[in-house]
Order: sequence, then structure tokens, then C-alpha cells
Amino acid sequence: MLAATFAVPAALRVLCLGGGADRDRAQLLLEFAVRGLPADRLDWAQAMLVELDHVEGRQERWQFSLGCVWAAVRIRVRSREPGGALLRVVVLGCAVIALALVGYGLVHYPGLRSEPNVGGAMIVFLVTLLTYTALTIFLSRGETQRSAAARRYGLTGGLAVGAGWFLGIAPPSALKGWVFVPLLIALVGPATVAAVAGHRASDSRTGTLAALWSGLVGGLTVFIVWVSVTYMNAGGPYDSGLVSDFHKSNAPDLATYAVSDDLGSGLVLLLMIPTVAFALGSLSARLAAATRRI
Amino acid sequence: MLVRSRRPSPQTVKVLEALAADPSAWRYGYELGLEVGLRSGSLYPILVRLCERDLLEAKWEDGPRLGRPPRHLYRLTSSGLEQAATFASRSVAQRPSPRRPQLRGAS
Repeated sequence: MLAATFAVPAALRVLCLGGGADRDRAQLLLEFAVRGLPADRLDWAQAMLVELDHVEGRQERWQFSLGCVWAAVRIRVRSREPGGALLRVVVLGCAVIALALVGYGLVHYPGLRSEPNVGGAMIVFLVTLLTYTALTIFLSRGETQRSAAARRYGLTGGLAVGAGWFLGIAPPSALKGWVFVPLLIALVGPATVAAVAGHRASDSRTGTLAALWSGLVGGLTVFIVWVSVTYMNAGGPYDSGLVSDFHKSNAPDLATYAVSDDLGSGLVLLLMIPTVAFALGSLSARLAAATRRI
Repeated sequence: MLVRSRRPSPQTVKVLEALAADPSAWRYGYELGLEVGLRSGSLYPILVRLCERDLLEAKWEDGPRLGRPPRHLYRLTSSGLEQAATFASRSVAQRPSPRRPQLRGAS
């Protein structure tokens, strides 16, 4: 989905530039990289872009462009631009809680540590958390109306998206026949958040950022609630399929097997929810921007 | 007020020295990088930091040239010049062998 949203249009754009267009590709890369710089560093972004215009030679241009990309990352990391503290507290707090929950599981269910794929799953989990944390630290700052709108809509939308996903995958008995409603909210939510935020700010990037925040907040909250409920019920209730699978496995006991199964599902949700939200949201923000231009 | 006196990196000293060699001249980023042998990835964070500490002033070129947008220009402020002179004199004092080449732009 991410490929369809970003990689394919980007590849088409680069291909459309035709052969011998390395000047433009180096410029495109730099233009993309400096987009994330805070408002008080936009002069530096412009300075690097203009300077690239005066660099001659394919190799030199690429070297200069790649160096400036690295410079943009360093400038962004060092930036102490205010704003976004609440969002950072929420996302980083959720990441710490998620880490603590997985740690608790490994201690409380020692059998999990001898599961065949536990090493790989832990690496994916830690890389995912680090990526979410880094995105939040680098992109959440800013006191402009646009960045504030992205955070506000993202946080609110994230809670709705999280609730939608959770009710969709573990519906209470009263909602059993209406399970498509929360799932619809989960899928339409980020697109709506992105379109509304983008429309209010008249800027598609605001909509894309709002979708990103809604995905991160939604994904992390669903993971925390899902894993907490799993621990409270020791992985239960156990259906016949689960019991049958357990007998074929080498797990030491049924609870460990069920918890391991649920943690795997939780990891999939942690990866899937932000990805789907971001892809749908950014698509919606672009469509909304295109509609505004017509 | 407590003033930070942490020694800058050798790359920063190089940039200060190059700018101090002709203090009145405004310099372009790309040419400055070539002169001191620094890639843009190292040069621009240094320039940003020097500007933040009021050691460097930056301005946009007056008017576009040959249809191109104006470039960013840099030169040392008076405090930047003082700092460059201080670091250059320290480098000379700490130099173990007199046969090593003199630092260019040091005053």
C-alpha cells in the first residue's frame, strides 16, 4: 500500500524526467530532504538548494546533494523548535509502555524466550518502536498553525482509529453483528482526518502529517490495550483451534502458547495500523489538495 | 554571564580560519567547502552553529545573476574574527614542531 502511494508515483516522476536528468534528480532528492526542516531553518534549506544550482558535474552534484541531505538531518536533530510536547509525551509514553509490556511478558512467561522466532520478532518490534519514536522526535515540532493542526487532528483521529481497530478485531457481544462499523471507522478515519486537516490548513502536507500521527497514536494504543487484555486473561479464552495448535507445538503450556500467539498479532497490528493510516491519509490529503486546485 | 569556552572541532577551526583570511569578503558555501575540504554534510551544520553563536553573519546576494536565484553569502562577525584569532594563536602555541606549516588565515 505504501509502495502504491509513494514509490510508484515517485518512480514515475523520476522516469518522466528522462535520461540525463541527474541534475533534477539530485535537486529532487534535496528538495524532499529539506521539507522537514523547521520554519526558522528555511533560509538554510533555500541556501543549500540555490547552492546546488551552481555545482557542476554529475558526481559533484550528487555528492553535494547527498551531503546536504545529511546536513538537513543534523540540523533537524539539533533543532530546539518549540511545540508538539503533548504529542511527543503521548507517543514516547506509549512506546515506553509497549516496551515494558513486552518485557513483562518475557519475564512472566519464560517459555516465550525459547520460542523459535522470538529473536526476529524482538528485532522487528524494537526497530518499529525506534522508527515511530524517531519520526515523532524529528517531525512533531513547530508552532505554526499548520503543524498545530496536524497534531490536533492526528491525536484526536488516532484515538478514534485505535478504538475502531480494537472494536473491530475484538468486538463485544453487543457489537458482533455490526463489526463492519468500527472497522469502517478505522479505515475511513485517517482519510477523513487527513482531508479535514489538509482542507483547514490549505496544505496537503498538514493532512499527511495528521494521518501519520493518527496512525502512530492508533497503532500504539491498540497494541497496549491488546497486550494488556491478553495478560489479564492469560491469552484466553482458548478456542478449540488454539488448543489443537498448541498440542502440535513445542510450547511448555497453553497460556504461554496463547500469549505468544496474541503478541504476534499485536506486533502485526503495531506495524499495520500506522502503515494503513499513513497510506490512506496521505492519498486522501493529495486528492483533497487536487480537488481544491480544480 | 557564563561563557562557554569549549574548543570547537578541527573542521570548525578550518572554516573560521578560511573566513578570517579575508574578513571583509562575503563567501559562497560551495566554494568555501571546496577551499577547506569539507563536504556539504559537515559544512552547513557548522555554518548554522556559527550563525547561532553570532560568530558568522549571513545574507542573500543582491539581486539574481544570469537569471539564477540569489545565493547565500557568509562572513565572520567581529566576535567571529576574535574567536578565529584566539583559536589560531592557541594552535600555534600548542604546535609541537616549528617545522610544521603555518595555519593559513591565522592572525
